[in-house]
Amino acid sequence: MSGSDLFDPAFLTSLEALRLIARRVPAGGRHGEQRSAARGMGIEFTDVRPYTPGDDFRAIDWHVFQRLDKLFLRLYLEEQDLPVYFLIDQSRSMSLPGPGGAERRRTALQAVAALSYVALQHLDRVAIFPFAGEELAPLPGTSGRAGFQRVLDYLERLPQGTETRLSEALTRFAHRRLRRGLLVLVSDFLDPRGPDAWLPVLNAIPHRPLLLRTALVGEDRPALRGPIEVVDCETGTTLALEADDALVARYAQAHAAFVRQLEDFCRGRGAGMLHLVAGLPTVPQLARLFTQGVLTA
Amino acid sequence: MTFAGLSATWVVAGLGLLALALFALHLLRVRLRRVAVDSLLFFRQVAQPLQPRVLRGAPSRLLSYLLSLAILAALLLAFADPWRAETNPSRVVLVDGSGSAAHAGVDGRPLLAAHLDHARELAATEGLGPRGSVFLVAGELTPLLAAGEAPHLLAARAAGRVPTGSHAHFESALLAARGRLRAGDEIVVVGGPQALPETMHGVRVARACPAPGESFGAPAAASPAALEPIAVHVAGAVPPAVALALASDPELRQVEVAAEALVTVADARAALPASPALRIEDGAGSGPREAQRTPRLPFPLSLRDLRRTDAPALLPEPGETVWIEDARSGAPLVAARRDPARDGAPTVRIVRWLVEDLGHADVPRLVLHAVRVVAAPRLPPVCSAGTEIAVPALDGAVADLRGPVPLRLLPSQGVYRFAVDLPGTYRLELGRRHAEFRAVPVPAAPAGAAETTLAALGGTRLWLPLALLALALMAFEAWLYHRGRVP
Repeated sequence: MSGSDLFDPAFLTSLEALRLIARRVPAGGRHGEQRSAARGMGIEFTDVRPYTPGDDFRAIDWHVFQRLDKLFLRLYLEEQDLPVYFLIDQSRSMSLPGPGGAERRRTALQAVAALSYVALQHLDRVAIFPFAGEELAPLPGTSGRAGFQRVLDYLERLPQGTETRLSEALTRFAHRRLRRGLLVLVSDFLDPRGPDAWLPVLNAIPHRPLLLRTALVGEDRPALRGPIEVVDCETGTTLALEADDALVARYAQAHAAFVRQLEDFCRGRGAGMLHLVAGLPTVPQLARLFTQGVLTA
Repeated sequence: MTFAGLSATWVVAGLGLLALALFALHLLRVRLRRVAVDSLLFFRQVAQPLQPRVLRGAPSRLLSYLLSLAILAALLLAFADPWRAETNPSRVVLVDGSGSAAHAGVDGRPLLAAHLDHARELAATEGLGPRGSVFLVAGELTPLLAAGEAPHLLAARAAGRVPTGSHAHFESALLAARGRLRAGDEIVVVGGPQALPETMHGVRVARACPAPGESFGAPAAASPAALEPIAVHVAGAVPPAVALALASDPELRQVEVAAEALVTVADARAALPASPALRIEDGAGSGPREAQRTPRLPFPLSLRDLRRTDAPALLPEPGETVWIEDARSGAPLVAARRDPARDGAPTVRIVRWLVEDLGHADVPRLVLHAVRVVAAPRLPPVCSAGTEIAVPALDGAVADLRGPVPLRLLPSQGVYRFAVDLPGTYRLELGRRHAEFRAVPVPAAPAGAAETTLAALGGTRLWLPLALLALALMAFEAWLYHRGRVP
């Protein structure tokens, strides 16, 4: 997959429509355009309050003083940068072609690129941590609108890994002790040990999570019939079975339960979750993050 | 029976090609379709796993292949038997059992009996060869004797056969016989129509029709395994009680000529042929005698009141087993041994005074049991599997039969009886004596049970159902493999 295929002009143009809104940005970060709960030196007026000794004179509303002869301060939302950490799955299952040759990996990389673009446009700080069975070299914190090209270059050169090991990846990320921010986890979440192995680890991470699940069309109902031998594309493990309608139906039920478990976790954790279907345009799907309140402020 | 008349070389070559083809089939046969999936997470939850097909299954598949080969080879060997010696010419003897064979010959016997005697002589003297056999043509073809079987079985299998049908059946019989033979072999027709072809595709057709009334020689020696009357020849002066006992037993047939006898009962002065013998001897010495059984007596006797105040006893001979002895002196009164001077024929010696009492119940018992003991066959060096063997128990000891199925044998009526059902080498241990013999597989022909036609039995038509059966077996195994039921 070449870089021009991955990030074509149409894709790059469509990025202008996106905007990342975080519900809460921790105080103490670098100055940025994201609204923070902290009142400070931003440009967006929010409220006034009586002056108290020690307040900044520059914030006194002199018009009110002229009318009421009392000192009031104008309060603005202080805009801080939002650390955005991308954990992107680079296991083999992300590259397994689906119907029409669609790959989860392409969608995942485009999603990371798009969200990075929006974050950098809003002067947020972006870091990318790819993971697979082995640890891959991360992209350290990048900020500024010029950093987007670095992100694209990095994503284009990102190598493919082997297995999905979410709990190890999350544990490694947690040990980095990064400033609290938005954790965007992009994966198919098909850890062989199941969600119960890694959801507790994710739950213990203080960052606010956003789960982007990349999926293939019809992955919940595999078109398999007859005696077959299914091979795990990551581990090479095989399983011989007799595929029939009943098995496919049970498979769909298990898949639905799996998705439901992820959604329940996000709901309980106050996290966002978005399903991205490989093969469909990525940016319009990402827009639902903001238009349909998938990720709310 | 041979495999479609092919030589063993061709059969081996064909088997090799079949093995190669079979191996290719095993390599190419349908395997489970492999499908790469992103994860087995959900499959493990919902699927009933079949047996995995991984590399370690290869030995099992090889085993399956070898098993298929073994099935084929076993079928071939069991039914087609292509490896029998092919150098000797074979002959199929067709015995006329048509209605004309019901007529009596000059000797008063039916011609069928004469035909069967002649066929037996042929089988005994010239042999049948590896592909030969004897068939009775009487309306339908009845196999009587297969290659390798003892000729004396012919009489037993033909017993009770009634001549039926016409000579017309010989045409189909000749064709069927030709299908079993190869060029250079021979078809011998005993009786039957006068007009016969000289050859049939390289197989010579010969006639062996005895002239009416022609003697067919002495009757065959009584088969050890066949339950025929024991031919007894009495020579010399034997006590009346002995003669009476011999005459009263319907299972004994007294013959005049010693050469026809299976057992000779004689006094001490008569010359004994090389056959089992019961010798009545006067004995030597004197003194009070009281008959007493020894533990080695192989049959029951009471011996009550068998005593004399002054009577002789037998002189002991080396290698003898004493059956009855004098209770006082231990001198032998009845003893048995194998006589090396008479080709190992068993001999039982009885002191005369012991069998002189006409009214004693043990006298005929002793004589008749002794006759049966000595008449029991000696161990054959080679016999057909399934043959029932009776070995005289010269003493009452337990014998051990070592072989594929070990047995402990107890004597019954003075005889160890057992059947060697499985082919193999057997060793019969009688105390310190032992004898080894071999049981060979019985050819698939006939022991008088199945009556069928030659065409159905073999020749060129057998290989087709065999091949179909083998193919069906392989297809079934392949289906099991495809369904994942076998590794």
